[in-house]
Amino acid sequence: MLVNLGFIQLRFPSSIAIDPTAVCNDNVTNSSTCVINSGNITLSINGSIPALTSFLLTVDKVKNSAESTQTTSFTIYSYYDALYSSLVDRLETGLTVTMTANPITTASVTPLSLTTYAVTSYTLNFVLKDDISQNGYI
Amino acid sequence: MISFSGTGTILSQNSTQMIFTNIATADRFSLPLIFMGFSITTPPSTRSFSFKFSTEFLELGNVYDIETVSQTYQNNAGVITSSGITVTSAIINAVTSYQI
Repeated sequence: MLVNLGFIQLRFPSSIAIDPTAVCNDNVTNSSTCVINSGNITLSINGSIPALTSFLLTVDKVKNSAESTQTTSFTIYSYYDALYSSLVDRLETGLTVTMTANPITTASVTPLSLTTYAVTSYTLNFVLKDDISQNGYI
Repeated sequence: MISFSGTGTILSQNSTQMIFTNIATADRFSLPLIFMGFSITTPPSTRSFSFKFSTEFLELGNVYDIETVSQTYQNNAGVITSSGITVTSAIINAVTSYQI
């Protein structure tokens, strides 16, 4: 159970960015305050929340990570009152998202010669949809 | 042979006492083992809490401290279960919404 001034803190993996103008809301505490600070979301409780309450927190304007790999785990902590020393429940492992690679749709192959057994050159033309950082490769 | 008697009283959360009287002179140097059981409700968070036990000697209305021991406890945090994360788009670099 959480009481008035208690709070829930949810941390996104560092590979995922949340826009500073993003909005978060939940299905339980309509009058509570949700504050986004970088990858940290703090939901301050206005009123009390009984045990076994099922939360659904929605956050918009979230930018997915730049790689199609599994993220590290999201973490969730709940605090009984306004102080960090009042930790109640936690989740630190297993809550991950696996990103999907963007398909390259604009691509063509042009051989200089289509004659069988010819030794020729090929030209591949394609458009990348996403940035590649330094030391990345194709 | 220890032959004194004791009376326990719970005055409040911060004042629980057991008074032994009629301790025989022969028992003055004995080492009695005292077992006390409490049924308590632990705090709702992992914030630590402690018990303090003291022995005192009462004589003619005066109280003299003998020994004190303090024991601190801390609850373990509960485990949050999650059915997972729903992402509107899981494509890399997409700006999307998350439901957790």
